[in-house]
Amino acid sequence: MQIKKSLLAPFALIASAFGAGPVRAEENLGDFLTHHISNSYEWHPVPGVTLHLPHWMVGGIDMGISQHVLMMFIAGGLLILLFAMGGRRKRNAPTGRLGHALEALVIYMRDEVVEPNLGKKEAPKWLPFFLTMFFFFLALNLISLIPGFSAATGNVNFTATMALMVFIVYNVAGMVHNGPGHYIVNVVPKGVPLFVLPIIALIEFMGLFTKAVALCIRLFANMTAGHILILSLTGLIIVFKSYYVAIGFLPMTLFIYLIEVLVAFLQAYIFTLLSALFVGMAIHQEH
Amino acid sequence: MSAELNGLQLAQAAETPSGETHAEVGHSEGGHAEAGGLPAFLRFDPGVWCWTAIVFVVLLLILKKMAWKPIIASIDERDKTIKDSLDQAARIQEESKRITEEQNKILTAARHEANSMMQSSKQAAEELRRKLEVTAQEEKARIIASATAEIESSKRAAMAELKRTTADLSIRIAEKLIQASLDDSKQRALVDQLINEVSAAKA
Repeated sequence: MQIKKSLLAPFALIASAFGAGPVRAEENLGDFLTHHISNSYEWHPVPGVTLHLPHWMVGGIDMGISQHVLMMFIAGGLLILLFAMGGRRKRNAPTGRLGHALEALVIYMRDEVVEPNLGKKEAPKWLPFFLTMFFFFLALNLISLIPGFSAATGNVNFTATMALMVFIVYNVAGMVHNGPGHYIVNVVPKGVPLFVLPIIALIEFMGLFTKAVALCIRLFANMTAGHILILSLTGLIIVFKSYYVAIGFLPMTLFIYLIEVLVAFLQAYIFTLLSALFVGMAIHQEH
Repeated sequence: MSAELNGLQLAQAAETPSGETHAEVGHSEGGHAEAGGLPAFLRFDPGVWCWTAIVFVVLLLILKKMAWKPIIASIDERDKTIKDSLDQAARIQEESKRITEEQNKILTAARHEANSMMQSSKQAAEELRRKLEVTAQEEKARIIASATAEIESSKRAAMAELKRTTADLSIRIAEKLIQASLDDSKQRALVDQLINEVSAAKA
């Protein structure tokens, strides 16, 4: 029994690093999953360490630094640190590998995402917004893959806020650019036959909202689904009450984990791309 | 014993759609649906909304000042430098092409000129030669003519001299004849003698 335990110690460690913790008799999979994808006021940065995060009531709202808020701080701090380190330039070129990597992403976002959707004239004005969005999502997605960290981008409250922000941005940008009256009228495309006009108008106006809602759900669902997949495989330990199953599922977990790295980039990119597309559509309504 | 217990619990978990029945496990306050029957990860959390907006806007302001503006400005600057350099290179290439063309043109023109100069000098030489030849011919003719004329005049002079001498001689012979007209035989001998004399003189 002792020997068996020590042999399994590495698996136990890996499993617990993914959030499994010690196998407790009373644990079950549903509980385990919900716990790990939910926001909370406790953080386990490493197995066995529990940090209690503060609640902070402001005007009836709990503005406490919950786990996902902490992740936002960490991601934001990380970005500032990365750009402080990689932002150094000499003769208009980055000085190090980090700088080149960041610059490649910045140039890609500018040339392939923002400029094609907003046009060369409008793009510079909006570039900081979309760059910040992309890098913020990317940082949050990537740190969520570090064992012990959690995915703020998998929190529906987070994605809803970002989607709301995009919703406000594309509507306000459209109204400022085209005039409020024109903007509202032009939401319905020109040249629609009169008898389908009411239906089209209704659909187009609903579309204004569904675009943002889809943004919110897409990011939230993708990030949550990925984490649930990893956690489900890890959670087989709980289902089977044995660390031995780890031998079988670890390669699979690793595979899903690598896919999650791709998804981290992909979802950050998609959210930003679609946001840029929506803002572009609102500004250039004639197209 | 524990296997039995767990089996029971798992069965329970499978029956219950959300985490409601597991409140007694209670390992975190966030892990369970407490209101509205929603799972914890779907619950509305205004704190997260506020923090998301705050963090995003603050991050946007910081990164805009710290990263985006300098990086984009520097990229644009670099793009401009590269574009200018390329433009300049193209311009220089065009210029050098133009210069080469011009050089070739000049060279061709020079060659043409040299050729034509050679041609013309050859022609001139030929002309000169021909002229000289003509002149020489003329000179020759002139010299010959003048020589002929001189000869003629000399001949004429000689003829005149001869005539004069002949006349003189004739007169002298006549004188002699007149002086020696003593006898016929004598006269005849004298005439013969004189004729001989004249012939000898003439010869």
